[in-house]
Amino acid sequence: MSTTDDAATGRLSVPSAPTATEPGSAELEALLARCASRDAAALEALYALVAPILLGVLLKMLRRRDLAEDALQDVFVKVWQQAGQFDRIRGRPLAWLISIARYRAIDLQRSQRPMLALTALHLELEPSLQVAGTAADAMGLGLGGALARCLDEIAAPQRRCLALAYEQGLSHGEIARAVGEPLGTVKSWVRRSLLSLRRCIES
Amino acid sequence: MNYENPDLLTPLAADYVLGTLRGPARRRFERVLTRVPAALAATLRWEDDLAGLNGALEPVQPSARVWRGIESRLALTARAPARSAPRRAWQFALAAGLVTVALIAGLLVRERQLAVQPVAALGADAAHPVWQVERRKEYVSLRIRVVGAVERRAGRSYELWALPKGGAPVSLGLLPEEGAVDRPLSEVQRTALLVSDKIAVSIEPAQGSPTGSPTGPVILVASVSARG
Repeated sequence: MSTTDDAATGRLSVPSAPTATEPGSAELEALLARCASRDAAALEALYALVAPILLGVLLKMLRRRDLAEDALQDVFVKVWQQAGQFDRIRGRPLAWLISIARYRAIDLQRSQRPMLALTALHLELEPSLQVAGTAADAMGLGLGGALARCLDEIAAPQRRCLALAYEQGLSHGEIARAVGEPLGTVKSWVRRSLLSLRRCIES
Repeated sequence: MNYENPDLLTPLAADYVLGTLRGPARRRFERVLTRVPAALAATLRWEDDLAGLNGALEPVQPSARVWRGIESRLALTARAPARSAPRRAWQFALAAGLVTVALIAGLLVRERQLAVQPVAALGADAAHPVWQVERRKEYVSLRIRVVGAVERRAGRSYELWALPKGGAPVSLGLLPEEGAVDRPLSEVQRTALLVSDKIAVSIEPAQGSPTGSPTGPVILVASVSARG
Protein backbone atom coordinates (compact mmCIF):
# COMPACT_ATOMS: atom_id res chain seq x y z
CA MET A 1 0.00 0.00 0.00
CA SER A 2 1.60 3.25 -1.07
CA THR A 3 0.69 6.47 0.58
CA THR A 4 1.79 9.95 -0.23
CA ASP A 5 2.06 12.95 2.00
CA ASP A 6 -0.27 15.66 0.92
CA ALA A 7 1.68 18.83 1.63
CA ALA A 8 -1.33 21.10 1.36
CA THR A 9 -3.37 19.39 4.06
CA GLY A 10 -0.67 17.62 6.00
CA ARG A 11 -2.72 14.46 5.66
CA LEU A 12 -2.02 11.09 4.28
CA SER A 13 -3.92 10.21 1.17
CA VAL A 14 -4.18 7.03 -0.79
CA PRO A 15 -4.61 6.47 -4.48
CA SER A 16 -8.30 5.93 -5.10
CA ALA A 17 -7.72 3.28 -7.76
CA PRO A 18 -6.78 -0.17 -6.50
CA THR A 19 -3.13 -0.83 -7.09
CA ALA A 20 -2.36 -3.88 -9.16
CA THR A 21 0.74 -4.70 -7.15
CA GLU A 22 -0.92 -5.40 -3.82
CA PRO A 23 0.46 -8.70 -2.59
CA GLY A 24 -2.04 -11.49 -2.56
CA SER A 25 -4.39 -9.68 -4.91
CA ALA A 26 -2.54 -11.08 -7.88
CA GLU A 27 -2.84 -14.59 -6.54
CA LEU A 28 -6.58 -14.22 -6.00
CA GLU A 29 -6.96 -12.75 -9.48
CA ALA A 30 -5.07 -15.63 -11.03
CA LEU A 31 -7.27 -18.13 -9.21
CA LEU A 32 -10.41 -16.33 -10.34
CA ALA A 33 -9.17 -16.38 -13.93
CA ARG A 34 -8.64 -20.12 -13.68
CA CYS A 35 -12.11 -20.52 -12.17
CA ALA A 36 -13.46 -18.67 -15.20
CA SER A 37 -11.84 -21.30 -17.41
CA ARG A 38 -13.52 -24.01 -15.33
CA ASP A 39 -10.52 -25.19 -13.33
CA ALA A 40 -12.06 -26.82 -10.27
CA ALA A 41 -8.70 -27.05 -8.49
CA ALA A 42 -8.52 -23.25 -8.60
CA LEU A 43 -11.87 -22.97 -6.87
CA GLU A 44 -10.64 -25.29 -4.16
CA ALA A 45 -7.46 -23.23 -3.72
CA LEU A 46 -9.51 -20.03 -3.62
CA TYR A 47 -11.78 -21.63 -1.03
CA ALA A 48 -8.83 -22.56 1.16
CA LEU A 49 -7.59 -18.96 1.02
CA VAL A 50 -10.74 -16.95 1.52
CA ALA A 51 -13.53 -19.17 2.85
CA PRO A 52 -12.53 -18.56 6.51
CA ILE A 53 -12.52 -14.79 5.95
CA LEU A 54 -15.90 -14.86 4.24
CA LEU A 55 -17.35 -17.08 6.94
CA GLY A 56 -16.19 -14.54 9.51
CA VAL A 57 -18.06 -11.82 7.61
CA LEU A 58 -21.16 -13.98 7.20
CA LEU A 59 -21.27 -15.02 10.85
CA LYS A 60 -21.32 -11.42 11.97
CA MET A 61 -24.30 -10.75 9.73
CA LEU A 62 -26.28 -13.96 10.09
CA ARG A 63 -25.27 -14.93 13.64
CA ARG A 64 -26.14 -18.56 13.15
CA ARG A 65 -23.43 -20.90 12.02
CA ASP A 66 -25.69 -23.14 9.95
CA LEU A 67 -27.11 -20.18 8.05
CA ALA A 68 -23.66 -18.67 7.57
CA GLU A 69 -22.27 -21.91 6.22
CA ASP A 70 -25.21 -22.34 3.85
CA ALA A 71 -24.57 -18.80 2.65
CA LEU A 72 -20.88 -19.57 2.22
CA GLN A 73 -21.81 -22.46 -0.01
CA ASP A 74 -24.04 -20.19 -2.10
CA VAL A 75 -21.21 -17.67 -2.37
CA PHE A 76 -18.77 -20.15 -3.84
CA VAL A 77 -21.35 -21.54 -6.23
CA LYS A 78 -21.89 -17.98 -7.41
CA VAL A 79 -18.17 -17.24 -7.61
CA TRP A 80 -17.75 -20.28 -9.83
CA GLN A 81 -20.59 -19.14 -12.04
CA GLN A 82 -19.50 -15.50 -12.21
CA ALA A 83 -15.72 -15.71 -12.08
CA GLY A 84 -15.64 -14.73 -15.74
CA GLN A 85 -17.14 -11.37 -14.87
CA PHE A 86 -14.42 -10.45 -12.45
CA ASP A 87 -11.90 -9.62 -15.15
CA ARG A 88 -14.30 -7.18 -16.70
CA ILE A 89 -14.88 -5.14 -13.62
CA ARG A 90 -11.39 -5.14 -12.18
CA GLY A 91 -12.08 -4.28 -8.59
CA ARG A 92 -10.02 -5.78 -5.85
CA PRO A 93 -10.67 -9.48 -5.80
CA LEU A 94 -11.22 -9.76 -2.06
CA ALA A 95 -13.52 -6.74 -2.05
CA TRP A 96 -15.54 -8.41 -4.81
CA LEU A 97 -15.70 -11.69 -2.90
CA ILE A 98 -16.71 -9.97 0.34
CA SER A 99 -19.43 -8.08 -1.52
CA ILE A 100 -20.88 -11.27 -2.92
CA ALA A 101 -20.93 -12.71 0.60
CA ARG A 102 -22.50 -9.61 2.15
CA TYR A 103 -25.21 -9.38 -0.51
CA ARG A 104 -26.03 -13.03 -0.02
CA ALA A 105 -26.32 -12.46 3.73
CA ILE A 106 -28.57 -9.43 3.20
CA ASP A 107 -30.85 -11.45 0.92
CA LEU A 108 -30.95 -14.33 3.39
CA GLN A 109 -31.69 -12.00 6.29
CA ARG A 110 -34.81 -10.90 4.48
CA SER A 111 -36.22 -14.39 4.43
CA GLN A 112 -34.82 -15.40 7.81
CA ARG A 113 -35.77 -12.25 9.71
CA PRO A 114 -38.46 -13.75 11.90
CA MET A 115 -36.08 -16.51 12.93
CA LEU A 116 -33.10 -14.24 13.38
CA ALA A 117 -34.97 -11.58 15.27
CA LEU A 118 -34.59 -13.38 18.56
CA THR A 119 -30.84 -13.44 18.42
CA ALA A 120 -29.80 -10.84 15.90
CA LEU A 121 -30.84 -7.83 17.86
CA HIS A 122 -29.18 -8.77 21.09
CA LEU A 123 -26.22 -6.83 19.80
CA GLU A 124 -24.08 -8.30 22.50
CA LEU A 125 -21.11 -7.72 20.26
CA GLU A 126 -20.47 -4.05 20.05
CA PRO A 127 -19.77 -3.33 16.38
CA SER A 128 -16.37 -1.85 15.99
CA LEU A 129 -15.62 -0.96 12.39
CA GLN A 130 -11.95 -1.61 12.61
CA VAL A 131 -9.84 -1.01 9.62
CA ALA A 132 -8.58 -4.14 7.95
CA GLY A 133 -5.58 -5.67 9.62
CA THR A 134 -2.64 -7.59 8.29
CA ALA A 135 -4.44 -10.64 6.94
CA ALA A 136 -6.78 -8.56 4.84
CA ASP A 137 -4.05 -6.12 3.88
CA ALA A 138 -2.06 -8.99 2.52
CA MET A 139 -4.89 -9.75 0.17
CA GLY A 140 -5.21 -6.21 -0.97
CA LEU A 141 -8.10 -4.99 1.10
CA GLY A 142 -6.74 -2.30 3.27
CA LEU A 143 -6.90 1.36 2.62
CA GLY A 144 -4.65 1.48 5.63
CA GLY A 145 -4.12 4.74 7.41
CA ALA A 146 -6.42 6.84 5.25
CA LEU A 147 -9.51 4.85 6.04
CA ALA A 148 -8.69 4.68 9.74
CA ARG A 149 -8.17 8.42 9.85
CA CYS A 150 -11.38 9.07 7.90
CA LEU A 151 -13.37 6.87 10.24
CA ASP A 152 -11.98 8.79 13.17
CA GLU A 153 -13.41 11.95 11.69
CA ILE A 154 -16.93 10.58 11.93
CA ALA A 155 -18.62 11.16 15.30
CA ALA A 156 -19.04 8.05 17.43
CA PRO A 157 -22.86 7.68 17.23
CA GLN A 158 -22.80 8.00 13.45
CA ARG A 159 -19.92 5.55 13.21
CA ARG A 160 -21.85 3.08 15.28
CA CYS A 161 -24.77 3.27 12.85
CA LEU A 162 -22.40 2.64 9.99
CA ALA A 163 -20.98 -0.37 11.79
CA LEU A 164 -24.40 -1.83 12.55
CA ALA A 165 -25.26 -1.56 8.87
CA TYR A 166 -22.00 -2.74 7.38
CA GLU A 167 -20.86 -5.39 9.83
CA GLN A 168 -24.15 -6.74 11.05
CA GLY A 169 -26.31 -5.98 8.05
CA LEU A 170 -29.03 -4.16 9.96
CA SER A 171 -31.64 -2.14 8.10
CA HIS A 172 -32.27 1.53 8.82
CA GLY A 173 -35.25 0.58 10.98
CA GLU A 174 -33.31 -1.95 13.00
CA ILE A 175 -30.47 0.50 13.54
CA ALA A 176 -32.95 3.11 14.71
CA ARG A 177 -34.31 0.69 17.30
CA ALA A 178 -30.82 -0.39 18.36
CA VAL A 179 -29.51 3.12 18.95
CA GLY A 180 -32.80 4.67 20.07
CA GLU A 181 -32.86 7.44 17.47
CA PRO A 182 -35.64 8.35 15.02
CA LEU A 183 -35.55 6.61 11.65
CA GLY A 184 -35.04 9.83 9.73
CA THR A 185 -32.06 10.76 11.87
CA VAL A 186 -30.46 7.40 11.35
CA LYS A 187 -30.97 7.54 7.60
CA SER A 188 -29.35 10.92 7.29
CA TRP A 189 -26.51 9.99 9.68
CA VAL A 190 -25.68 6.94 7.61
CA ARG A 191 -25.84 8.78 4.33
CA ARG A 192 -23.82 11.73 5.52
CA SER A 193 -21.16 9.54 7.16
CA LEU A 194 -20.69 7.60 3.95
CA LEU A 195 -20.36 10.70 1.84
CA SER A 196 -17.93 12.31 4.25
CA LEU A 197 -15.97 9.06 4.30
CA ARG A 198 -15.78 9.19 0.52
CA ARG A 199 -14.73 12.85 0.48
CA CYS A 200 -12.11 12.15 3.11
CA ILE A 201 -10.67 9.13 1.30
CA GLU A 202 -10.45 11.13 -1.89
CA SER A 203 -8.82 14.12 -0.27
CA MET B 1 -34.73 8.56 -11.96
CA ASN B 2 -31.75 9.51 -14.02
CA TYR B 3 -29.18 6.89 -13.15
CA GLU B 4 -26.44 8.78 -14.96
CA ASN B 5 -26.55 11.65 -12.47
CA PRO B 6 -23.70 11.08 -10.01
CA ASP B 7 -25.35 13.19 -7.29
CA LEU B 8 -28.21 10.72 -7.19
CA LEU B 9 -26.24 7.65 -8.10
CA THR B 10 -23.46 7.92 -5.52
CA PRO B 11 -25.69 7.80 -2.42
CA LEU B 12 -27.95 5.19 -3.97
CA ALA B 13 -24.98 2.92 -4.73
CA ALA B 14 -23.70 3.54 -1.20
CA ASP B 15 -27.06 2.44 0.21
CA TYR B 16 -26.93 -0.68 -1.91
CA VAL B 17 -23.38 -1.64 -0.94
CA LEU B 18 -23.95 -0.91 2.73
CA GLY B 19 -27.07 -3.08 2.60
CA THR B 20 -29.53 -0.50 3.83
CA LEU B 21 -31.24 -0.43 0.44
CA ARG B 22 -33.87 -3.13 0.88
CA GLY B 23 -36.86 -4.80 -0.62
CA PRO B 24 -38.15 -3.84 -4.07
CA ALA B 25 -35.78 -0.86 -4.26
CA ARG B 26 -32.83 -3.21 -3.85
CA ARG B 27 -34.12 -5.52 -6.59
CA ARG B 28 -34.72 -2.53 -8.84
CA PHE B 29 -31.18 -1.28 -8.35
CA GLU B 30 -29.80 -4.74 -9.11
CA ARG B 31 -31.56 -4.60 -12.46
CA VAL B 32 -30.17 -1.11 -13.08
CA LEU B 33 -26.67 -2.46 -12.39
CA THR B 34 -26.94 -4.84 -15.32
CA ARG B 35 -27.68 -2.10 -17.83
CA VAL B 36 -26.22 1.19 -16.58
CA PRO B 37 -22.42 1.17 -16.58
CA ALA B 38 -22.26 4.31 -14.43
CA ALA B 39 -24.30 2.57 -11.73
CA LEU B 40 -22.00 -0.44 -11.80
CA ALA B 41 -18.94 1.80 -11.61
CA ALA B 42 -20.36 3.73 -8.63
CA THR B 43 -21.18 0.46 -6.88
CA LEU B 44 -17.74 -1.02 -7.45
CA ARG B 45 -16.12 2.09 -6.01
CA TRP B 46 -18.15 1.78 -2.83
CA GLU B 47 -17.40 -1.92 -2.61
CA ASP B 48 -13.70 -1.18 -2.80
CA ASP B 49 -13.89 1.71 -0.34
CA LEU B 50 -15.97 -0.10 2.25
CA ALA B 51 -14.30 -3.51 2.02
CA GLY B 52 -11.48 -2.05 4.08
CA LEU B 53 -13.96 -1.72 6.94
CA ASN B 54 -14.03 -5.45 7.48
CA GLY B 55 -11.90 -4.67 10.44
CA ALA B 56 -10.83 -7.41 12.70
CA LEU B 57 -12.02 -9.94 10.10
CA GLU B 58 -11.77 -12.89 12.40
CA PRO B 59 -11.45 -15.82 10.04
CA VAL B 60 -13.58 -18.82 10.98
CA GLN B 61 -12.78 -22.26 9.64
CA PRO B 62 -15.83 -23.66 7.85
CA SER B 63 -16.88 -27.21 8.62
CA ALA B 64 -16.07 -29.84 6.05
CA ARG B 65 -19.64 -30.12 4.86
CA VAL B 66 -19.48 -26.70 3.22
CA TRP B 67 -16.87 -27.65 0.65
CA ARG B 68 -18.49 -31.01 0.06
CA GLY B 69 -21.75 -29.23 -0.61
CA ILE B 70 -20.12 -26.87 -3.08
CA GLU B 71 -18.54 -29.77 -4.86
CA SER B 72 -21.73 -31.70 -5.15
CA ARG B 73 -23.79 -28.69 -6.19
CA LEU B 74 -21.35 -27.74 -8.93
CA ALA B 75 -20.70 -31.26 -10.10
CA LEU B 76 -24.10 -31.35 -11.68
CA THR B 77 -23.46 -28.46 -14.00
CA ALA B 78 -19.82 -27.53 -13.92
CA ARG B 79 -17.70 -30.63 -14.12
CA ALA B 80 -16.36 -31.84 -17.41
CA PRO B 81 -18.49 -34.74 -18.71
CA ALA B 82 -15.51 -37.08 -18.63
CA ARG B 83 -15.30 -36.65 -14.88
CA SER B 84 -18.93 -36.42 -14.04
CA ALA B 85 -19.97 -39.78 -15.41
CA PRO B 86 -18.11 -42.04 -12.98
CA ARG B 87 -18.81 -39.60 -10.22
CA ARG B 88 -22.51 -39.76 -10.80
CA ALA B 89 -22.35 -43.53 -10.84
CA TRP B 90 -20.64 -43.40 -7.47
CA GLN B 91 -23.17 -40.99 -6.08
CA PHE B 92 -25.94 -43.17 -7.40
CA ALA B 93 -24.47 -46.13 -5.59
CA LEU B 94 -24.53 -44.14 -2.36
CA ALA B 95 -27.98 -42.80 -3.00
CA ALA B 96 -29.24 -46.30 -3.56
CA GLY B 97 -28.22 -47.04 -0.02
CA LEU B 98 -25.59 -49.58 -0.88
CA VAL B 99 -23.48 -50.38 2.09
CA THR B 100 -20.12 -49.06 1.08
CA VAL B 101 -17.97 -50.93 3.54
CA ALA B 102 -19.56 -54.23 2.68
CA LEU B 103 -19.02 -53.56 -0.99
CA ILE B 104 -15.42 -52.53 -0.58
CA ALA B 105 -14.30 -55.22 1.74
CA GLY B 106 -16.71 -57.92 0.80
CA LEU B 107 -16.18 -59.34 4.23
CA LEU B 108 -19.26 -58.89 6.24
CA VAL B 109 -21.51 -61.82 6.64
CA ARG B 110 -25.15 -61.52 7.41
CA GLU B 111 -24.84 -62.77 10.96
CA ARG B 112 -22.33 -60.14 11.86
CA GLN B 113 -24.45 -57.40 10.37
CA LEU B 114 -26.99 -58.06 13.07
CA ALA B 115 -24.56 -57.10 15.74
CA VAL B 116 -22.15 -54.78 13.99
CA GLN B 117 -23.05 -52.52 11.13
CA PRO B 118 -20.81 -50.56 8.83
CA VAL B 119 -20.65 -46.81 9.22
CA ALA B 120 -18.05 -45.84 6.64
CA ALA B 121 -14.78 -46.73 5.01
CA LEU B 122 -12.18 -44.03 5.20
CA GLY B 123 -9.50 -43.90 2.55
CA ALA B 124 -8.18 -41.87 -0.34
CA ASP B 125 -10.45 -43.87 -2.64
CA ALA B 126 -12.94 -46.66 -2.39
CA ALA B 127 -10.47 -49.35 -3.36
CA HIS B 128 -7.94 -48.47 -0.65
CA PRO B 129 -9.63 -47.92 2.68
CA VAL B 130 -7.35 -47.06 5.58
CA TRP B 131 -9.86 -47.26 8.40
CA GLN B 132 -13.13 -49.08 8.62
CA VAL B 133 -15.68 -47.70 11.00
CA GLU B 134 -18.46 -49.92 12.24
CA ARG B 135 -21.02 -49.48 14.92
CA ARG B 136 -22.64 -51.67 17.47
CA LYS B 137 -26.36 -51.72 17.11
CA GLU B 138 -28.04 -48.62 18.51
CA TYR B 139 -24.75 -46.77 18.34
CA VAL B 140 -23.60 -47.93 21.75
CA SER B 141 -20.06 -47.89 20.48
CA LEU B 142 -17.93 -47.60 17.38
CA ARG B 143 -15.42 -50.16 16.29
CA ILE B 144 -12.62 -48.65 14.28
CA ARG B 145 -10.16 -50.91 12.53
CA VAL B 146 -7.02 -50.04 10.64
CA VAL B 147 -7.20 -51.88 7.34
CA GLY B 148 -4.65 -49.95 5.29
CA ALA B 149 -1.36 -48.15 5.69
CA VAL B 150 -1.56 -45.23 8.13
CA GLU B 151 0.99 -42.55 7.40
CA ARG B 152 2.46 -41.64 10.78
CA ARG B 153 3.30 -38.05 11.51
CA ALA B 154 5.33 -37.09 14.54
CA GLY B 155 3.34 -35.03 17.03
CA ARG B 156 0.19 -35.37 14.96
CA SER B 157 -2.91 -37.47 15.26
CA TYR B 158 -5.89 -38.29 13.11
CA GLU B 159 -9.21 -37.25 14.58
CA LEU B 160 -12.59 -38.54 13.48
CA TRP B 161 -15.56 -36.20 13.22
CA ALA B 162 -19.26 -36.60 12.73
CA LEU B 163 -20.63 -33.87 10.45
CA PRO B 164 -24.23 -33.41 11.58
CA LYS B 165 -26.54 -31.76 9.08
CA GLY B 166 -26.76 -28.09 9.86
CA GLY B 167 -24.45 -28.24 12.84
CA ALA B 168 -20.82 -28.02 13.85
CA PRO B 169 -18.58 -31.11 13.65
CA VAL B 170 -18.58 -33.37 16.71
CA SER B 171 -15.44 -35.24 17.62
CA LEU B 172 -15.62 -39.02 17.62
CA GLY B 173 -12.15 -39.33 19.08
CA LEU B 174 -8.72 -40.10 17.70
CA LEU B 175 -8.24 -42.82 15.13
CA PRO B 176 -5.95 -45.74 15.94
CA GLU B 177 -2.73 -46.00 13.98
CA GLU B 178 -2.75 -49.77 14.21
CA GLY B 179 -5.07 -52.55 15.26
CA ALA B 180 -8.61 -51.77 16.30
CA VAL B 181 -10.44 -49.90 19.04
CA ASP B 182 -13.89 -50.26 20.47
CA ARG B 183 -15.07 -46.84 21.52
CA PRO B 184 -18.20 -46.19 23.56
CA LEU B 185 -20.20 -43.23 22.28
CA SER B 186 -21.52 -40.44 24.47
CA GLU B 187 -25.07 -39.24 24.03
CA VAL B 188 -23.81 -36.18 22.14
CA GLN B 189 -21.72 -38.29 19.81
CA ARG B 190 -24.55 -40.75 19.22
CA THR B 191 -27.02 -37.99 18.40
CA ALA B 192 -24.54 -36.26 16.10
CA LEU B 193 -23.82 -39.46 14.24
CA LEU B 194 -27.50 -40.21 13.80
CA VAL B 195 -28.02 -36.96 11.90
CA SER B 196 -24.74 -37.07 9.96
CA ASP B 197 -24.52 -37.98 6.31
CA LYS B 198 -20.74 -37.74 6.41
CA ILE B 199 -17.85 -38.30 8.70
CA ALA B 200 -14.42 -36.75 8.28
CA VAL B 201 -10.83 -37.07 9.40
CA SER B 202 -8.64 -34.11 10.23
CA ILE B 203 -5.00 -33.87 11.20
CA GLU B 204 -4.64 -32.56 14.75
CA PRO B 205 -2.02 -32.19 17.49
CA ALA B 206 -1.04 -35.44 19.23
CA GLN B 207 -3.70 -35.04 21.94
CA GLY B 208 -6.44 -34.17 19.47
CA SER B 209 -8.04 -30.85 18.60
CA PRO B 210 -7.58 -28.39 21.48
CA THR B 211 -10.73 -26.45 20.52
CA GLY B 212 -13.34 -29.15 20.05
CA SER B 213 -13.55 -28.31 16.35
CA PRO B 214 -11.26 -29.44 13.54
CA THR B 215 -8.19 -27.19 13.53
CA GLY B 216 -6.02 -28.96 11.00
CA PRO B 217 -6.63 -29.89 7.38
CA VAL B 218 -9.50 -32.24 6.69
CA ILE B 219 -7.94 -35.08 4.75
CA LEU B 220 -10.80 -37.50 4.31
CA VAL B 221 -14.55 -37.29 4.12
CA ALA B 222 -16.75 -40.33 3.74
CA SER B 223 -20.46 -40.92 3.45
CA VAL B 224 -22.19 -42.71 6.26
CA SER B 225 -23.82 -45.91 5.13
CA ALA B 226 -27.54 -46.38 5.17
CA ARG B 227 -28.80 -47.07 8.65
CA GLY B 228 -30.25 -50.46 9.25
